[in-house]
Amino acid sequence: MIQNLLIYPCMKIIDTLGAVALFLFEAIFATQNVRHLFNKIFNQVFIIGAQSIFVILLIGLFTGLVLGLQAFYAMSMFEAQGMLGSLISLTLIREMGPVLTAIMVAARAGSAMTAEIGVMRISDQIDALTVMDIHPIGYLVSPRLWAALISFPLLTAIFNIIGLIGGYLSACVLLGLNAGRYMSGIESSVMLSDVNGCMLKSLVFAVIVILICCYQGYFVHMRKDAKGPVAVGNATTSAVVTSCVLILIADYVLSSFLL
Amino acid sequence: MNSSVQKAWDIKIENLSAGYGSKTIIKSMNAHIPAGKITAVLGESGCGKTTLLKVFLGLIPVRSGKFFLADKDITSLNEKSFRCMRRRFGVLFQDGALLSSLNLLDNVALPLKEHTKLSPRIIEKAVLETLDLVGLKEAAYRYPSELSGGMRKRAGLARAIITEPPLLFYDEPTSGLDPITSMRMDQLLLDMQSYYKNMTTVLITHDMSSVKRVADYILLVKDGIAHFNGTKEDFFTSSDAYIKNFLEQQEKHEQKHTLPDNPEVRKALAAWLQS
Repeated sequence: MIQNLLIYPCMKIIDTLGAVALFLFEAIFATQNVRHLFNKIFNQVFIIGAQSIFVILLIGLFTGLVLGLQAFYAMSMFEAQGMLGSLISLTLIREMGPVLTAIMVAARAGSAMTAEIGVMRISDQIDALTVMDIHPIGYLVSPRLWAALISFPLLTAIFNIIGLIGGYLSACVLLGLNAGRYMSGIESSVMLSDVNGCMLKSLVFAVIVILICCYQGYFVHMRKDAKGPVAVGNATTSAVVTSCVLILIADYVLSSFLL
Repeated sequence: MNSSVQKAWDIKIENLSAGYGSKTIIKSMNAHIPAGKITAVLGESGCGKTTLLKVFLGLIPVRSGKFFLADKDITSLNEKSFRCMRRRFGVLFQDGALLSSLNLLDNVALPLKEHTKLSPRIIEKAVLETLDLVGLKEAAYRYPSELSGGMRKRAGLARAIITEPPLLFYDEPTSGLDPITSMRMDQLLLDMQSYYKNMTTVLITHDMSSVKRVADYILLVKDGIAHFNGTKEDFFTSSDAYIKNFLEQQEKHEQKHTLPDNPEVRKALAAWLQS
């Protein structure tokens, strides 16, 4: 009874964590043998980064607008509208920027990654790479990992800036807060350590998203719940859900160290 | 005829066993695939033909026994040495296994781009020549999803032969093709064999017409064991009861299909069509 409820699930979790860690090490070490690495990374930066800019701009703007709106009325109760700039900037830079960016990229590029690699697995394309002596993890995962490490911090920075603009539009343009008070609030409260923490979070989230999404696609044939195209669908869902959950857990752990 | 290819390789298997998980599919198999010839691997579905191919390609490990390639014991090689040997294999997977994100030109160029320092101009020229050989030069800039099944197989063949391998594996090259395209595929296989004189070809198939047209040798697999390993002539004139039965079943399969007669399903369908 205890075995079924506790020991086996724990062993399975440890087993999976070990397999994911090995997958990460293989992706890192396989990089040295990847031919035309910069071309492949550049291509992936375009897919993960450039193609995500529009959705990041949209989400960042509306997050800033909503934050500005809600915070303005909440602060009005205490006559503390002057703190609005501080509140919006710290909320965006410390938490919402890296978390929402990572979740959006996981949903947009991560799901596509899982599906693409999963389809390659079930249609023998990965076996074909192996037989051609092209390291499949080096060819498929390593460029995506390095591209994500470049793209995530940049996308997070864009999210933060557009979020601050959204907050300004909401609080200053629509609700009439003094623009100088808003800007001075940002300037006085945001420290370099906040920006560093934000970038550190985005790097950790980049590794989580790429690792989970590529792992789910790469081992789609090992799934027990389904086989073939259904397994690819399940793996895609599982990749996005697992990435989002792990992003939030990692965010809590990192925040508790950074604060 | 191409004379630049390397010496032909033969394959020898001694008491080879392999499988998945707790299931053993290949059971102490002994066989010989001669160099420079076309050997067809035959057998009923699930008898272990594809597993044998995966063992040859190193995609599943050998459990026991030995497997020699050009007199070199593959089972005793470390991973790096085996990978060096495998570089000389050409493989045509069942559906071509072309990378869906690349066009035909990039797919066929992949082994050259990844393993050589040739200039893009030379690679493109070599790829277009190979695509011309399989009749796909005009489709060089099309993606796999834009091609028919037969074209995908020919493109997969182009990718397999661009490195001029001494050992070429075909996994069901004619499955899912119409009879005319099947015959063209067989002719292409024979053309490859005469063009690359020293190439050893292993053909995994269910298609007996194709076997009659192209094979020199036969390896018949029954329940993970080599039931017959010899020339095509010996195979078709064999008095062995299993081989006779196998050939009869294949001929029946080729000649006549008895359609299922299920009155309940027919009645339900009729009701649906009238609704």
